[in-house]
Amino acid sequence: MRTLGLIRHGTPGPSRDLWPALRARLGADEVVVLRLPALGWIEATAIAVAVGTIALVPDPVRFLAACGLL
Amino acid sequence: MPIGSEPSDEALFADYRAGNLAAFETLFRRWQAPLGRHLARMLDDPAAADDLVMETFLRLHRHRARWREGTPLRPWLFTIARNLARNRLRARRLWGWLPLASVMTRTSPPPAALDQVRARVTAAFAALPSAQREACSLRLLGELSMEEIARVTSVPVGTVKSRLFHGLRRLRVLLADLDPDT
Repeated sequence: MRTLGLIRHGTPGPSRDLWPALRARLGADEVVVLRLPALGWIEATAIAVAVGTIALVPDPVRFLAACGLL
Repeated sequence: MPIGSEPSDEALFADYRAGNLAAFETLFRRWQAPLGRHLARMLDDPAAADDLVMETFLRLHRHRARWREGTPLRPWLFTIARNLARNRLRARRLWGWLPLASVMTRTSPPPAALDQVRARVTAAFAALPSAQREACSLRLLGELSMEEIARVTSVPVGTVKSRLFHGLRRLRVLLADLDPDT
């Protein structure tokens, strides 16, 4: 049936390969991006002080309250 | 449309669900052209058809857990595409009420710039009632069987046969002067 050939010829498929675009969208669909702030010396000092306080002070809650932080 | 020893659509999709992305790529490359042609015919907009081909496969990927092994994949694939196309057409009709639509229409290429055969085929399909147009497009461009078309369009196979019979007869008449065999 030449009509079928005419119809297919007269109906172009996708003009470009769509796989790369779909692949990118599939990737974007799967990946959960977790963004954390960069860890500088200020953050490192704060973590060290917090850990040190909990480890060394006998009653950390009372200590923090006495310092006016709680 | 597996040829020879090529894996079936269902085998490829099962592989993909097991984590094989290459199987999904094979499936996509197998169906992007037939699905794209069908959607282009239903929407009369090749760019929108490209977009919906990707959206269809993206939905297939998102809902992959819902597919039960042993059920045919193609009717599901084309049903997703059908629903997306209907939503797109509905949205276009809604936009048609707004003044912006006239601006959007002007941006599309004029028919005179289109290849003559393409313009004639587009006009011939546009002359069909929507149910016949969909059945003919699914059969001729989507390459689905009668049974698959019946599942996609939720009508009995007899209705599909009738729509195809009348639609194809009309298409042959409308395109007769382009076809030297008729």
